[in-house]
Amino acid sequence: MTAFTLGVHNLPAAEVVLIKTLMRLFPATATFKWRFAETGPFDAVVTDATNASSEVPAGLARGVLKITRTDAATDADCITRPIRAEQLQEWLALQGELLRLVPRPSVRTESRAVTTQAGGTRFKLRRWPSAALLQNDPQRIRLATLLSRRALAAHELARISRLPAEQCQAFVDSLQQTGLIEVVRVEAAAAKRKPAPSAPVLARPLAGGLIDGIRRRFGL
Amino acid sequence: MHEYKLLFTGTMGAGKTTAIGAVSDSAPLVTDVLNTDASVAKARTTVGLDFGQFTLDNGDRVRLFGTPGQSRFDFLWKILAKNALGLVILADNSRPDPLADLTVYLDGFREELATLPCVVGVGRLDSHASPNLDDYAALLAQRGLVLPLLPVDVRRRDDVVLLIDTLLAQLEAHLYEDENHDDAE
Amino acid sequence: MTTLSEASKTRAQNEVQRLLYDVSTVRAVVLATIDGFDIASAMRDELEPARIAAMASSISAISEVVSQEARLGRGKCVTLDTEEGFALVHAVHHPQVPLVVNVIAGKDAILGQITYRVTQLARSLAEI
Repeated sequence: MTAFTLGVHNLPAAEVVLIKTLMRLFPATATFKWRFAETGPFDAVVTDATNASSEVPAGLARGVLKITRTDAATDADCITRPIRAEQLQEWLALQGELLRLVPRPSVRTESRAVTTQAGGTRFKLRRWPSAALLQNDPQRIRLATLLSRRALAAHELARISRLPAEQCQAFVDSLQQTGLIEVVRVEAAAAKRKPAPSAPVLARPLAGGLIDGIRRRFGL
Repeated sequence: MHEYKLLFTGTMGAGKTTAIGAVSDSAPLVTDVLNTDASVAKARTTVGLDFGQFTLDNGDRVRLFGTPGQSRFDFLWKILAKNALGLVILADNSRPDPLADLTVYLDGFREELATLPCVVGVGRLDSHASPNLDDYAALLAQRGLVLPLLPVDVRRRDDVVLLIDTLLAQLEAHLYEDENHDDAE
Repeated sequence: MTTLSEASKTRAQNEVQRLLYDVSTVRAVVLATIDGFDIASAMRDELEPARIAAMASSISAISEVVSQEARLGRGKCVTLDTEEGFALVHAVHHPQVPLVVNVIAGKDAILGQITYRVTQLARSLAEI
């Protein structure tokens, strides 16, 4: 089970440190797997609802835990100060259940924003996706196969597969929702890639011709 | 003219010979003989190799080799895997323990699997739903492998072609150089 | 699917043993089913009969294909000539259970003599 991510939004530094410490101390179990994340989007975020200007931006997180004043703690997504470990843990456990039950909406815009800021984000499959996700679609299978072999950005996926960039991005998004994909952030300055170990027998100049030739032979 | 090789392996009865036949230009050569193993209800078994081929429009040839499935012929596996472009492992989901069967080939081709493109085709899933493809994926993940896993009926040419396509995609991933790397050269 | 009876296997074991004792330059004799299971063996060297059996059946099957492709009829025997000796893989055309006998001989062995003896062995094994 992939860990869910918890972030913070507009909290005082001391409370950020407290939450980070609590997250390290919470024991991971088969059903409770959360980790603190510095950058979003997150699965859940803790925010200071006592501050009127602390509205959480749309798309930052699916679940929002609001720290409110005692008299304003109106629903299950509110806690009051001081932040208590068992309150946070309980809320995260419940949130985890909800997240597992309800598929995530597309986080496409956010993913792109993260990609731009980070200078490059590549994705690699850590496990073959389910038949339900692949739908026996040769294009999806081909994209998944590429991602199984090396970490690729969506635009690189589009380039190799010659499929539209939007289609590649949408597929990567759907894989991210399943937690099967590993995000590999690449700093722009250090983006010189070490080539993956080559297939043993192909000389590069011949290879593209061979692959196209086989695809033509079978009408792929 | 260049010649290339694809290798098909998997348990007895998984359909290696049929798969090769499905995509070969002409009927493949087979080295199957009488099966004396009473534990397997099959009249004949491959003890040497199956051989088929198809020719590309530029005259290049792709040879398809099928290995014997039983591990007593594993000495042939290494010989046949040499210089192969890719490996297709066919699994028969109707057998008593298909995941254990797969492990035999993952072990037998362990060295090759570090670099050789590979796909696992699982047959007879429609009549034998367990283990399912997620179970196969879990087994592979435990061994640190992420391999394409496809349901197949090797009597259907399109299914075998899709297996070959995943090998080609893996070759493409191997060959890809990113723009930054090219610019820096 | 027929298999050899226990009595036949015992006779086969006696036959392969006899060849080994009779010809001092023979290093090993392995009788195998056509699909590579060892049935009887006699050895001077530390070799694994199961592996020899599998290899012999592969060699036999591949050479059978060559024989058919070349329109030379049914295969009889394959000679593997090496630096330190030779091996003969001879078909045994048993009416119920096709077999393969593999004889490994050292450098001092005489090919003609061994070939003659193996051909005789194959004939008698076909009648066990």
